[in-house]
Amino acid sequence: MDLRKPTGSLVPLACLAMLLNACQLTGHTESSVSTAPATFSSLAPLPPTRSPMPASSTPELCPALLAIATLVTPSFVGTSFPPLAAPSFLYVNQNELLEYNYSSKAESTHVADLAELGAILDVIRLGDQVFVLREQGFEQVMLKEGSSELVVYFDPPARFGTLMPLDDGNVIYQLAVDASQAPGGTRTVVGLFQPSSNSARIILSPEQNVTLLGQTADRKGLYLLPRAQDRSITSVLEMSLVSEEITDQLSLAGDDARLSPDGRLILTLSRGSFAAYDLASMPRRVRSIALPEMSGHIRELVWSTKGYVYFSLLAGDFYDYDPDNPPASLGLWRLEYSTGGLCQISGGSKQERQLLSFSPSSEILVTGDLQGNVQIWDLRAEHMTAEVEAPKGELEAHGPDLSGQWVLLRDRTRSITILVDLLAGTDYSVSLPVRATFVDWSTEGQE
Amino acid sequence: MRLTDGACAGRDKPRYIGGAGVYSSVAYDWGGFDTVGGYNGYMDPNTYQAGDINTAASESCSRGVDCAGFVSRVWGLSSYHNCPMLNYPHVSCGLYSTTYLRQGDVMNNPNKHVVWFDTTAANGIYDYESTTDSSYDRVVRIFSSWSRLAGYTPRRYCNVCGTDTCGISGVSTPCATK
Repeated sequence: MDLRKPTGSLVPLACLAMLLNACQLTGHTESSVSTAPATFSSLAPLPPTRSPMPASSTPELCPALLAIATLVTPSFVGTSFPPLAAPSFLYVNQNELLEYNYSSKAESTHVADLAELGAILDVIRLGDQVFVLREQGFEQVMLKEGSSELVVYFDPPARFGTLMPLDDGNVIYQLAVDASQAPGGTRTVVGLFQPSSNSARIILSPEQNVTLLGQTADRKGLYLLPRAQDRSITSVLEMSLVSEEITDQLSLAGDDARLSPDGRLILTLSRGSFAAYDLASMPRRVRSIALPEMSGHIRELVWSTKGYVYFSLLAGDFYDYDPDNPPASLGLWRLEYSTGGLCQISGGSKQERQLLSFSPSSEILVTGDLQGNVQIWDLRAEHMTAEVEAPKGELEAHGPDLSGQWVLLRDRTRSITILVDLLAGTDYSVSLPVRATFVDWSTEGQE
Repeated sequence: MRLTDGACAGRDKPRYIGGAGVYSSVAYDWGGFDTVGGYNGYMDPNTYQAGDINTAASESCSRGVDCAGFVSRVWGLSSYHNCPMLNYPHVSCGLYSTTYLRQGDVMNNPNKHVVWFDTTAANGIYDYESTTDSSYDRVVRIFSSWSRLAGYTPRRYCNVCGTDTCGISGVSTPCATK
């Protein structure tokens, strides 16, 4: 790979500061920018749907939410061993797949050796197989045999990438590979691995940076998101898994996009609004939905199986995010995407609330803030079922497991991992290396 | 994404950074909109990470500017404007051709990238940009050939230096009236 050394001169910080101050803008106030009208190639736009509740009025509460269940409020103790019923989980550490097992005492047991293939880019589990995507290759681990096999070796190595399981049991891998002559300095490789025939091949290799958005509704294609050097999105590519070609390009606009699990709807996120693109309609329709707070932003959302999207609304602009002064939470919200209706699940707080983890099967959502306040929400009943006092800091969450009883919370910066029993209200310290990557709960079928 | 980049999962380190040290310029950070002072402040306590060339997601733990964040800052805009937004008629006006470019204008391709024009040169321009092209992965002043800039259009900030300089000759698409 030709990593050409820079030939241009670097901009000294002082010079950049000069540029920033070059124009003495007096009296100029940049007006807020509304979202550009989003369009498909054959678009019949619906009129924008305003939030049912203007920001200045009392927000509409979701109907089922008014009664808060009895809360389990464990506090972090993290000293004793968990009960035998606690689920074990798989994780990768360096070149080893391990299982953190509670059957006798809390300790890790070896599952399989992995090859030295560089940093881990992504890892997924499908039944009794684990797939590990790394800088220099793609490995398949057979859990029952405790063996691993190199599926593809990457030369040149991948810079970043993702794995996506298909409904037919195959696995898509997407890689960004250094390419000095390509726009943005990377090109993309999309490959297909078929475990049944143990074969892998490249199915698309565009000279541009694209990421996987998901599968089409008929499951015969993929949606790919071209990425520019800024964060805008202007189109989505549709690729056929049959012909292995790009078959359509859909124009849209926003800062980010999410595809519904059934492949029928794309939601784009923009400053102060959503746009919902109905992929099943012909001509395709788009609906603009204003956020309840125009100056607010969304960092993540989850799709419920009931036709809802849940999101935590945060104050201020996504791009002005200052981790030293994190934005206040403007509440947990629900969007009914067939109608564009919005309602509020919970009120806001001074603390930023992020969506940490979601279990589609049990419809349990985990949210948390930097002060260690973690909430567990039952989205079927749309109420909070537990509050957990976790260590302060940026947390990542895994789970809940299929039973809905257990959640694993991690603070990588301080090497803290705790396993929380949501029913008993207790939590247990787990010894996990900082660089360990959680794979899945051990029991087959668990999340 | 990258799952094992220390405490900043999802971030991919700019390629010019070999480890802890002093580096010139501001790192490319996809979705980044930091000022120079803000960036230096984030680097000083060694709490946050310099740059992110991974376009799968923006992380708050990585700091710097991307191409549009850089132009937004240099133009003094109060918020991040992505490449399509930099073409909004109340933000910039279109120029008839590149012959009308002046320092401070941009060459913008809403689907790809934006660069900040500095001076003309034989067969191209010198520009400032935050880019991952050629593995620069930071703000640089480089030569861009006209062939590299194919598909880009010349634009001028509507209120540069406090006056409507879009009103001078060379403007094909005027600024919107506020």
